[in-house]
Amino acid sequence: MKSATRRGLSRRALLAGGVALGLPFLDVMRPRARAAEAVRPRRLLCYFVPNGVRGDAWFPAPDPELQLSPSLAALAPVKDRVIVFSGVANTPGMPELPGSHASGTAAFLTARKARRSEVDLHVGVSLDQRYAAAIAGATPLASLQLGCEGGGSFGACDIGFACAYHRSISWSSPTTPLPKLTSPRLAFDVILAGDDPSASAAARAARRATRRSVLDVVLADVHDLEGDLGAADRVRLDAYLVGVRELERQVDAPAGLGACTAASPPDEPADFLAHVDMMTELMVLALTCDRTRAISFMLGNAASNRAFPFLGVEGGHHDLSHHAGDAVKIAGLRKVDAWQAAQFARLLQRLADTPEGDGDLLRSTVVLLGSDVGDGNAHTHRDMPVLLAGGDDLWGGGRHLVYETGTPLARLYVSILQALGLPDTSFGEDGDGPLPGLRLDA
Amino acid sequence: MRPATGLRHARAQPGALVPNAGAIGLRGARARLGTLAPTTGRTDRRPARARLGALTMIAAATGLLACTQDPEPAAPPVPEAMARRLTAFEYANTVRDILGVEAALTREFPADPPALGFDTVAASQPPSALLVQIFQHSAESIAAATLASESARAALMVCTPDPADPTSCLRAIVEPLLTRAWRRPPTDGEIGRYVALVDPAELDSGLRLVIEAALLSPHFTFRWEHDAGAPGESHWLDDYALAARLSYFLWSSAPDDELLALAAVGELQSEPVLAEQVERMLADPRSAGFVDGFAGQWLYFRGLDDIFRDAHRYPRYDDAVRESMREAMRRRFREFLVPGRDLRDLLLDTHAHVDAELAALYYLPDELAVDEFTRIDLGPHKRRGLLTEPGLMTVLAYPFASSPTRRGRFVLEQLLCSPLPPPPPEAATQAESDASTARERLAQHRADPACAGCHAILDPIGLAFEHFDAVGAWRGSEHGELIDASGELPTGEPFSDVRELAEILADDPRFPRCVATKVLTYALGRPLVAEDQPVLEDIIKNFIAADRDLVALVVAVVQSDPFRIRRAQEAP
Repeated sequence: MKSATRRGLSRRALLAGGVALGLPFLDVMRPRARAAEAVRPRRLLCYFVPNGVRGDAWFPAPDPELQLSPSLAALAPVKDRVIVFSGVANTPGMPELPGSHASGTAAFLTARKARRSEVDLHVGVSLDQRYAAAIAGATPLASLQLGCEGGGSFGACDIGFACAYHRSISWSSPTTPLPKLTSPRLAFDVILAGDDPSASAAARAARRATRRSVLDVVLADVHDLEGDLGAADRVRLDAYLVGVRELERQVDAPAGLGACTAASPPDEPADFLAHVDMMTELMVLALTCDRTRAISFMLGNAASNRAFPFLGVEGGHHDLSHHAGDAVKIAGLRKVDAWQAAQFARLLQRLADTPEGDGDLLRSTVVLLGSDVGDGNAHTHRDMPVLLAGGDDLWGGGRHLVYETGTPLARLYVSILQALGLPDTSFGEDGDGPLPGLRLDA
Repeated sequence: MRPATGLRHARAQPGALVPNAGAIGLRGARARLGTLAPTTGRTDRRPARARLGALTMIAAATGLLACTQDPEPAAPPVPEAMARRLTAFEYANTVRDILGVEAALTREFPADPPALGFDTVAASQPPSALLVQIFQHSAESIAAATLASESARAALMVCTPDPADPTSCLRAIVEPLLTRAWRRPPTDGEIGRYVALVDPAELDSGLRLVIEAALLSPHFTFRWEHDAGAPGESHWLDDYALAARLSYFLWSSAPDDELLALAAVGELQSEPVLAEQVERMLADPRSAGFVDGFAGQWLYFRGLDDIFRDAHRYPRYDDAVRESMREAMRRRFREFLVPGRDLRDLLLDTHAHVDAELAALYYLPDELAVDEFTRIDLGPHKRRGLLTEPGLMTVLAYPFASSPTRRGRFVLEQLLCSPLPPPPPEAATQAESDASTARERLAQHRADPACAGCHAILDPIGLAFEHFDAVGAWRGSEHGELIDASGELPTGEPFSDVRELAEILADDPRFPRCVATKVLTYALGRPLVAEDQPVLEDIIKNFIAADRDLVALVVAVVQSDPFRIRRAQEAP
C-alpha cells in the first residue's frame, strides 16, 4: 500500500522525481480541503464507446483547467465534475497482428493482452470485476453488465479473436467474459430481482417464499451433479452454483425495494435513441436503489458499424472511423463523438440530480469513459480517450490532466481502486502504481 | 437399412412410452440394471450402455423386444468435450417442444457469441451468474404461460390427483415432465424432491413451482454427459446423451418421445437405427433448427437481423424484405435435407425462391409478385444458386456499398475453408481513393506490395459479385462505369461472371471438405484437433462417395466415433 499512504507531493518532489512533465501542478498541490468529511466513492460505472474518437475535436486544449472541446461540449452542465486525460495509452490493447478492436476492447478494463483464439479465451480480470469481487455480498447483485448492441450470431468478429472479446468488457476471471444485457425489460427484472414493484408487500413476500423453495430444489440438483462431473465441466457447474447462491441471497435479503418501488418496467424500446435512454435510466435505477455497485456499459460493441441517420451522418460508425482522410467522413465521426458525449453527459446529470446522503449519487460514483482504440483510422492504442467523472471529494473536477505520451491507463485504474478503498498497488500489465497528480490528497 | 424390431414397436406407439405410467416400470428396470452392472458407482440411473444380458429384462419390463447383439467393442479414443449450455435458440425450441408454449424472453437473452463460426461451440459459452438470474425470470414466465394455456396445461395433467392419495398421480405428472426437460428419466429421489413442491390442494401453483425449478435446474440449462469410465478413457455415450446430441444437432431442441424410447431400450447406438433417425429427423419440421442453427450461421443468414441499410439509398430494404431474404435462403438450403441431392447444386441451381417482398429486387413484373413463395427460373436473371441470393449479398456488404472484400472472404472462409492470413497492421489506414468502381479502387490497393499477395487471391472472387449491390439487386454499372465481373483465379481458371465462378467453386475439392468440416464442428461443438483428422477424412470420403448428399454426410457424422463416444474428463 505504499502509494496509498503517500502524502501530498511537494512541488520540489515532483520536479525531482522527473514525472512531472506536463502535470497540472496547481491541482496536485491544492490543499486536501474536503478530505476530512469525505464520502469515499463506493460505486463504479465503466462506460465504453466503440471505435475510438477523432482526437482533434475530442481532446481539450492543453490547459489544466478544463476547456471543453467541440466533441465534449455537451458535458458543459457537469463540466466541474469531470476530468479529461490526455497522453494516456493502453499498450496491452495492441495486438501483434490486426485485431485491434477485439484486443483493445478486451484490454479496455483489463489492461492486458488478449490471447488470439476463437476457443481458448484469456485476458485478465477487469477493473469493475476486481471491485465487485472486493465488495461481494454488499448488494443483491455483485455487478451488472449492460449494453445497447447484442451482436449477430454469425461469422467471425475479428481476425482470429473470439466474438466474446468484441462484446464483453467485464471479465470475472482471465478466462470468463461476462455477457451483457441489452434488453431493458430483462435488465429491469434482473435489477429488481424479479420483484414486482406494483405488487403489495404481502404478495412480494409470498413470492419470495416460493422462490426459496424452488431454489432449494435447484440447489439439491446442483449438489447431485457435483460428484458426477470431471474437471472441465465442474468449472461450469461451480459458476452456476455462484449464480444460484446469488439468487438465494436476493430472496433472503430483507424485504423492501426502497426507492425502487417507484420504478415501472420499461417497454420495448422503439428505436436506438429510446434504447440508450432506457439503459441510462436503468443504470441510475440500479445505483439509486443500491442493487449493485459495479456496472459496466457498452454503448456499442467493438467495431460497431451502427448508422446514425438521426444525426444526418451517412455511413456506419466503424466504416467512418476508417475515413482515409475523407473530410465528409471525418465530419460525420465528430458528430458521432459529440452525440456519444451527450449520452454520457445525460447519465452524469441524472446521477447528479439524484440526492444521496448529504450529496448526490454522482459524488459517490466513480464514472469512467473509454474506448478500444485512440484513433480509429490508424488503430492506435495511445492517446486514448479517457474521461473520469464523480468522486469529486477525491479528485475534484473541471480538470484536464495532460500526461507524457504513453502513460499507462492501468495506472489510472490503480488510482480508482485505491479511491474505492482497495489496497491494490498494481493493475494489469503496466499499471505499476497510481497515476500521479490525480488525487487531491495524495 | 434394417429397422430394429424394437424401433418399429416404438414407432407404432409414438409418445406412449415415456410420458405414461410405462415409464415408471422402465425406470425400475433401469435401476435394477444398475445394480446388476455396477461399474463406477455413478451409474445407478444411466448405465454405460444397455448391451448387457440384463437388456432382455428391460425389454420384458417395457414390452419391447430388442435384438441381441455381440459383446460391445471397446470404444476408440476420442478428444475430450465440455458440457454445452443451451443457446437462446435451443432454449426456445426446447421449451416449445416439451411444454408447448413460447419462451418469449429468449428473444431478449444476451446474444450467444459464436466461436469457430458456431454458437454451439462450448468454449464460446463461458459460465455466468447473470445468466442464472435470467434463467430464473424466464422459467417463471414460462411456468405461468404453461398453466395459463389450456392445451399446455391439459398436456401436463395426465391425471387428477385423488385427494386421499395424491402422490401417485403427482408422480405421474412430474416424471414425464422431468424426463422431457432433462432428456433422461429422473431418479426416484429427484421425482420425490419435485413432487414435494406441490401442495395437492393448490395443484396449479404447485406445478408452477415444479416447472420453474425444472427449467432453472442445471439439468435443463446444460447438457451434461455422464462419464462412465476412468478419467482419460473413452467410452460409448449412454443412449440418452446420444439422443440429446442427435436432437440438438438436427433440431436444436430436445429429443422427442421416439428418441427417448429408443434410448430407453438401448437401441440408439445401432448404426442402422442412427441412419434411420437422421432421415426421420431431417424430414421433420423441427429440422428448421438445423436450417437456422447450422446453415443460418454457416451461410450467414442468421446475421440479417443486424444488417442496416440506408433508407434513402435502398428504399426497397425493410424488415419485411429482410425476413423474405432469410426465408429464401432457408428454402434453398432445405432442399438438400432429403436424400439424393448433390450439394454442389447449392451453388449451381438455376432457380430461386421469391415472394412479393423479393419480387422488386428481381425486377419481376407485378403479376408475378405473389405473397406466397414461388420458384422462379433464374435463366433470364444472370443469377445462379446461393452466391446470388439477395440475403447473402446483403450480409456481405457495407451499409452504403457492396464489399468485394467481404464477399471474397466468405467464399474463401465459409465455402473453401481456406482463410487468408490477417492483413498487415498498416492495412487499417487506407489511402484516399478517387476510383469510381470497386475494381479500380482494389487495383490501387494491390499496388501496395504488402497488400498484393492476399488481394490477388481475394479480389477476383469478390469482384465477381459486383453486379449485386448492397441489398443484392442487379446493377449494370457503378458511378456511370460499366461493371466488369470477369476474372481469373490464381490457378489460372478464367470466368466471365459469378455464374461461371460458381461452377469452378462447385468442383473445387475444397468445397466438400469444407462443408464436412463445418458440419462436424457444429455437431461436436468443439474445435477439431489432430486426433479427429482420420475421422474427418472418412466422413469426407463417404460424403463424396455419396455424390455430396448432405443427408449422407449427416449420417456419417452421427455414426462417427467422436459423435458416439465420450472421453471421461480428468477428475476435478
